[in-house]
Amino acid sequence: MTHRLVVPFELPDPQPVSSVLVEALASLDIVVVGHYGLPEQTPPAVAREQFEAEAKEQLAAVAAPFEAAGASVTTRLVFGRDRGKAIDQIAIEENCDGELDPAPTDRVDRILVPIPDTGNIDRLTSFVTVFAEGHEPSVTLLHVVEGEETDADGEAVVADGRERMVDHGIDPGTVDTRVVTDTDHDAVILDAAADYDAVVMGEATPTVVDRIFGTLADKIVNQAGKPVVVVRRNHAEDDDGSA
Amino acid sequence: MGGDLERDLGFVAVLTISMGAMIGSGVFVLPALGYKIAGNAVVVAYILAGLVVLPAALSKAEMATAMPESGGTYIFIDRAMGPLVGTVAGIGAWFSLVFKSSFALVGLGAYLLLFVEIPATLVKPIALGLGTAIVVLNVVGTKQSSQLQSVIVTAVVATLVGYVVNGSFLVEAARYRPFDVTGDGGVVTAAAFVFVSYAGVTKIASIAEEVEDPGKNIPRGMLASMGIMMVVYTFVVAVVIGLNDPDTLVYGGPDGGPSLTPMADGAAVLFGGAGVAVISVVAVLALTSMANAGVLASSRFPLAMARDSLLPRRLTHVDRRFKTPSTAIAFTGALLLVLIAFVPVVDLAKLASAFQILVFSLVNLALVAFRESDVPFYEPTFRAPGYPYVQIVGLVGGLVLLGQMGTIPLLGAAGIATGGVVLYLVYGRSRTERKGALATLFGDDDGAVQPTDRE
Repeated sequence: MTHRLVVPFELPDPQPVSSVLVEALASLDIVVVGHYGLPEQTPPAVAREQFEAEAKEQLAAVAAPFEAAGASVTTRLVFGRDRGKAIDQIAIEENCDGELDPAPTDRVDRILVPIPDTGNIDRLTSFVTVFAEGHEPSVTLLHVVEGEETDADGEAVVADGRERMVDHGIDPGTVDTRVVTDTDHDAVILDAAADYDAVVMGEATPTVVDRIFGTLADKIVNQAGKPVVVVRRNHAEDDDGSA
Repeated sequence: MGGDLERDLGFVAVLTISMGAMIGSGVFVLPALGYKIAGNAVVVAYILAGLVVLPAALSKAEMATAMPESGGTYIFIDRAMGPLVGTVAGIGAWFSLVFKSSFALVGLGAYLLLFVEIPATLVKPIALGLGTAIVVLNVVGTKQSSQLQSVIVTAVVATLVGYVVNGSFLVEAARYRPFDVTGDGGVVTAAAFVFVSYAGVTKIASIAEEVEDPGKNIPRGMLASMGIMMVVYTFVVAVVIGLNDPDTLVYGGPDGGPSLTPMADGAAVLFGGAGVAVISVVAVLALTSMANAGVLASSRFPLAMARDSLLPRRLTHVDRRFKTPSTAIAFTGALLLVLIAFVPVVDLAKLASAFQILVFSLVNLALVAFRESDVPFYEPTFRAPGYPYVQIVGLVGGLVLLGQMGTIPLLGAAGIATGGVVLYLVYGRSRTERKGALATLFGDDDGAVQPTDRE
């Protein structure tokens, strides 16, 4: 199974993605999205006329390492205002199931995968398996036990996740599991992320608090300084109907 | 590549942008000026003005779905009737919006004086200072915040509703009797004068290329916002008349002229006595937002004309650092400040309305030109109902209003038309070969008409 990953860049003068991260992501299909943010004073067509050539050149330069690493690469360039909305729309159009939230890193050897008890577990585990192809990092599945759940429930969640990854073809020796009981789910993951090189996680249903203070993924990037791959919720065919 | 991704405004955003562009001087400043002209029949004048604007709004909605390009009004008229009329319309629409913004800023200064202790002679210097700040803000660039816009519009509408509900218990019924023209003009003159209160509908056409599902959201947003504003104006103006001593409205302003702060004048009895403060703060908020939107929207006209080679190309330049069309904005800003400094406040309002009526009449004609000439690129996803009667009513109505406005506005409209023609002959004519859809009607099939001639 192939997985497509959106890698967003802010134009002009995009920050390149760390080369180790480029190598690690090369097993996925990459959709490089350049977003040229404009103030409301500027009609997109006018800015496009003036800056398109330069923007294309800069975008090609940051896309080139992915091609060199052997990934299949698609590039998209957008002039507009709402970055999040544009990226979201491209992810749907290009049929992407993951989005990179980049941060500088010098190695991608230890991956943290927070695993919930609901949502599209199969997609998450399949995504991690393909992501691990080629560079064989160590993967830790982490489940936070909250509320009514018992430790045994938590163990069952991570065991099921591990089994699925093995079914998808990951080397069983590289996967370990962890269960933590705590009342603050996000704090546990944010804390744990500090000990890993990158995080791959499912997209949560955004809440009002997330909209104001940023999602957990944003916090991991901004506070722990680790790159995060967010595996998108399935918009069309979600089984739990959360889309 | 990317085309539809640049559309990110839905119905609510369209509605609030349109209402935000309309709410302002029409309700906070103009009622007393209108009252001076038509007496308590000024209420009818607001409805009449809305009815004359409606055909142009429908025409615009249709053309915006066929040509969703920034520069709206100008683009429609230019593509319909060619670059000569296009130049006149572009300059007219540009001036009208700048006049309106200048007027909003002077009104803003007047409301500020109500809660800051400074001499009344400072209204113009304050307006100039605020104007400069708004121009600088636009050159530096602001983030689109439809959320902030919604908050402001909601706050203003909520205050207006509170004003009407609260005020309706306190109005003196005698002030509506006799309900007829008691001012020094007539209802039609007053309607012409408050015409500019609805000019904000233009805004949607100017940002049509950023609207999602334009065939639905543009006409619905325009019509819904016009309908809401007609109701708002009717009730608010009725309460303004009922709450105030006629003498305060007619002579309460600077130099014994009409009041520039009619909503605050009788408001001391509202909101538990905090009426003046509440209304003044909301007025300042609404008028700032209006002046800002006006500068932003009006700078799109020289920008679009320059892209069509009707003005120097330099005006399309987008600044590298701020990513804004800084030349077009600065040029617009300079005009704004000159107008505030040198044109008497009542004339600002009159000229803004006169230019707007001229442009709206041309908008109705442009729709007729498109429908009759049947050019291939013209494929609107929304078709205005009632064609051509609605457009004829709009055109005739506009001309009647213009004829009732008096000498200065008529001379202004004639001047802007002449200026546009001269500008075209001197600058644009040698630089463009574009012809309007209208040309095909007269068997001129050369230079096949295109929606744009620059891609």
